[in-house]
Amino acid sequence: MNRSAFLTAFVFAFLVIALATTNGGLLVLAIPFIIYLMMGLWSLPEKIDLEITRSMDSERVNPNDSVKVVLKIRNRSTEATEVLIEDQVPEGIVLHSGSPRQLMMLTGNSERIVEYEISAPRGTYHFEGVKVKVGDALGLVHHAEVAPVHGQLYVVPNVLRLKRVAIRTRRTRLYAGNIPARVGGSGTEFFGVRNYQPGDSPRAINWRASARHTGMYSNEFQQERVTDVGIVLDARRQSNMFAGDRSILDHSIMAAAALADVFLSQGNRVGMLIQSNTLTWSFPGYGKVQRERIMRTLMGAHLGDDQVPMSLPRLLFGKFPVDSQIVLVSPLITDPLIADDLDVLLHWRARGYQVLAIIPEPVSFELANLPESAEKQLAGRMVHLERRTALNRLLHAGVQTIEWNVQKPFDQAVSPYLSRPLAGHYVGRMP
Amino acid sequence: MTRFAILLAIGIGTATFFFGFASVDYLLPGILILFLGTGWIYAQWLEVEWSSMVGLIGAGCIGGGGILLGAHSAWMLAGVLLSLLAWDLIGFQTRLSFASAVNDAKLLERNHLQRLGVLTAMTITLYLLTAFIRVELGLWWLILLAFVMTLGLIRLLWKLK
Repeated sequence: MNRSAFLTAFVFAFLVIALATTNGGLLVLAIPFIIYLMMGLWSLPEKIDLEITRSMDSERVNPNDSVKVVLKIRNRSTEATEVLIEDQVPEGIVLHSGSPRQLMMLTGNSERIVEYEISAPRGTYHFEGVKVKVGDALGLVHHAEVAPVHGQLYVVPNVLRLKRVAIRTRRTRLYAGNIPARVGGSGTEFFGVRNYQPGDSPRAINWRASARHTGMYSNEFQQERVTDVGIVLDARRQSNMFAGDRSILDHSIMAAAALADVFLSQGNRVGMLIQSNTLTWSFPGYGKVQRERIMRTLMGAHLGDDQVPMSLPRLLFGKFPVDSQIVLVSPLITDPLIADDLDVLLHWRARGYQVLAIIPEPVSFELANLPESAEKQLAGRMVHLERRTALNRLLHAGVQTIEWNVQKPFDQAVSPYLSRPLAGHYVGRMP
Repeated sequence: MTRFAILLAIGIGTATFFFGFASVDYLLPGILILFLGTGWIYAQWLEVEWSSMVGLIGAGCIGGGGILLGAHSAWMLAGVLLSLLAWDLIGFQTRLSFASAVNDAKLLERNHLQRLGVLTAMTITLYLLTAFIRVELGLWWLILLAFVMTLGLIRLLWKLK
C-alpha cells in the first residue's frame, strides 16, 4: 500500500471521528501524521539529474566466465539525494557477488560506483537500462524512471583446439590449402610421373624412371587447395532432449565450434546451417571474420520447438556446392518412425556431397542420468545394437560417422579419428 | 541500531498507552494493550511483513479510543507518535537492506534518525502550543475548518498521485 495514502487516510479518519464526536482531543492525534507528511513532501527532490554509465570487463566471454560490471552514477545537481539504483540484468544471467540493486546517498556533484560480478550461459544478453528511484527522505513518495544505459554481453561457446581434420573432397577451390586436390603440381604428396619439361627442378627428376626408359621423367606432386565445408548443426528438440529435460545440444555446439575453427584455420571456406524451429544460415566465408560470424550464429542456437516435427534439410543446393564436404553434428534419430534422418544423409551422399557425421552419442548420455539397474544395462545394450544396425546403412553408403561419448572431452575423443585421412568409412568406438 | 530503535519505540509506545489507560482506571484494557504490544514486538522479531501496518492501525485505534474514554491526550499522543516512529523505522530498515557499503548505511541511518528527531520535536512543540493556546470555536467554524482541511488533504493526495 502507498505509504503516503495510508498516512493521509489516518489523518482523515481522525478528522472525521473528531467531527462526528465533537471531541477536539482527537485532532491532537493527527498532528504527528500531518508533520510527517509535510516533512516527506518538503524533502522530495524536484527532478532526477543523474549521469549513469556502465562498463564491463569484457563484452565477449565464454560460458560461465566471470564478468565484472561497473556502474558509475554521477549526481549532476547540487542537492543531496537518496537514490535506489537497480541495473536491469537480463534473464538468465547468474549473479556471483555484489548486487545490481543498491540504495545510496548521493551528495551534490558526487559520483558513486556500483560493482557486481556475473556469469551467463551461452547466448546474447542485452542490458536495456538502469532503474533509478529517487524518493523523499522518509520514503513516502518517489520518482522512478529507467535511464537508457544500453549494453550487451556476448557469451560465445568454448572453442576446443583440434590440431587437424583430414578431409578429401572431389572439388576444391583455387586457393592453396591442405586438401589434396587430385591435380598435379607443387605439393608434398606424390601424385605421379610425367615427361620432363624444361623448367622442372633437377630435384624433381625421377632418375630411376629416366634410366629405364628413353627420355627424362619428372615426379609430380599433388596440389593442395582449400575446399568448401558446410557444417550442419541439428538443434531440433526431438533429437536433443532426453530424460530429465537434459539437452545434449551444448555438446553439439561445442563440437561444431571446434570443427568450424579448425576448418577455417586450415584456410577453407566454411558455412554453417542450424536446424532448429527455423533454418539459421551463415553464408560460407573465409578467415577470422567468418569465424566470428559462425560463433555468433552458434551463440544464438537454441532448441527448436517440437510442436512441428522438423526434418534435417533434404536439399543443400544453393547453400553448399555439390561435391563439397558436409559435416553434420547431430545425435541422429535412427528410428524411422520418428524422423527420416538416415534417409536425408543418404540423400546428401547420393547428391555427391562428402558427408561426415559427428554424433554426440545420445544413449550413454541418457543412461548416465538414469538410476543403476540391470534393466537399464540391458535396455542400453539393446538400443546400442539397434543404433549400430541403423548406422551401418550410412557406412555402406559411404557416410563417415564418428560417435562421440560426450563424457570425454571432444578434442581428445575424436582427434585420433579426424587427424588421419577419412579414406574409408568407419564408426568410432562404441561405448 | 535501527532494530533496537524499533523495539524501543514499540515498547515505550505500549507502555505509554498502558499508563494512559491505567490513569483513568481502565487497567484491564491496559493489560490487553501490553499483550498487543508484546505481540507486535514478537511479530517484528519474526519479520512478519504486515505487522508494522497492523501495529500502526492498532495504535491509532487505541489512541482514539483512549481519548474518547477520557485518557489524557499526552499519553495517547506519545503512544501514537512512538508507533508512527516504529512504523517508519521498519520501512526504513527494509529500504536499508538494499544499501551496499557500510558507510552508506550509516549515513542514511544518521540522516533518517535526525529527521525523526525533528518530527518528534515539532510534534511536542505543536502539542504544547495546543495546550497553552486555546481558542473557542463554534460548530460552524469547526465545520468550515474540517472542510478546508479535507480539501487540503484531497489536493495533497492528488499531488502525491
